[in-house]
Amino acid sequence: MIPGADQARGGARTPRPVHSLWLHVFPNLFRPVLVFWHAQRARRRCAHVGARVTITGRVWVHGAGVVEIGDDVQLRAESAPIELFAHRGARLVIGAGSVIEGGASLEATSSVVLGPRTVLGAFTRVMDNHFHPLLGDRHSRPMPRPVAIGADSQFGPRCIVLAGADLPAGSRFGAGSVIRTRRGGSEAPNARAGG
Amino acid sequence: MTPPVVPLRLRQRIPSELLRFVLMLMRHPSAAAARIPRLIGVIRARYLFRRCRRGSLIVALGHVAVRTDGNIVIGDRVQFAGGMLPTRLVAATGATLRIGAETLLSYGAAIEASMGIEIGARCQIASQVMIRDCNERTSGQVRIGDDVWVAYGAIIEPGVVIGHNSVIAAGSVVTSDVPAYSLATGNPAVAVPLRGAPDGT
Repeated sequence: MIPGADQARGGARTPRPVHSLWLHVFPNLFRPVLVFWHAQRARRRCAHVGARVTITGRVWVHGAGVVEIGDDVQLRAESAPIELFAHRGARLVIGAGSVIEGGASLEATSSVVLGPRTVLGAFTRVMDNHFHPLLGDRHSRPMPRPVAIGADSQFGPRCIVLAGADLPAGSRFGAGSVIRTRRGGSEAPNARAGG
Repeated sequence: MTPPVVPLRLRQRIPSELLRFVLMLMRHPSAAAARIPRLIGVIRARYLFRRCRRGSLIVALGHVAVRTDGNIVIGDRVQFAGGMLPTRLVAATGATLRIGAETLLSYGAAIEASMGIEIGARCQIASQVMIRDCNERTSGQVRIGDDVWVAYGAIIEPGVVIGHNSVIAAGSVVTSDVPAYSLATGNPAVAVPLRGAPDGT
């Protein structure tokens, strides 16, 4: 169990023995400062950062591509860093009002678009390229297939969204789902498909 | 400019990657600068795997948590990629964890041996992969052949033997043996032959 993971998921705060009042007061005092500072850092690396974006913890923005973060996005990376990786010429868009938990890793070699109000659970992986061919030279990179996730979609922790996923609005996936192709309608909770 | 002749005894004492770096720095400084992370990785690997039997030019680009009371054998030119979580190598007392040459391991991969785990050469082990040879129910040696690609988040259960050139799909849970040149997907994983594979293998 990652310390603070339940807290990051919006659950109840685990009771901890109070050793020093300052240990509790101090982080809370500086939280708005840290949130502002992390947002400023992300703003430097991203092409567009919307209004009222909340970032807690570390967010890694890599690559020479375009990363766009919509309004009211929450990046809750207290438990583990969030990785946003847009390769050169690629586009990674996080829709307005989305919530992304810690450890999520989004990698775009062509295009990854999250619709508005998407919820990504902890350690979710979204990628639009398999990066290796099934046979032959494993160091060559296959063609990317863009990923598009409809509005109001929800993903549990440790989901894997693979290249070519084109999901309708309101899709819901339980923990550990592997999503690789187009799906119709909403999935039952805890649905799991082979990658 | 001819490279300086380094005496053989000195050459054996210092990491060859460092030597290559110094020689490169004289000829192509900018190319050498780009190799600094790799150089740091090689030196870091010599420290991290100090209690393992290791080949030459192992690169640790990120944090690797090594816990060994048994034997860990790492082949030549094995690479450990860095990321948000450490790669974990564990070998219990009497256990042998063998990683073949030129295998790539990504961040967050956990390989825990309590009896024996063998990973072949030129394999690719992606992030968040879990390979164990002992769990609450069963135990048995795990063997992974050469050129196997274990994709993101796959779990390999104890006693599984995976043939060479196979692919384990992302997020799958492998509970039974996978023949060579096949693709294993799902939970529990079902193996299908890879299209275009050479026959009779």
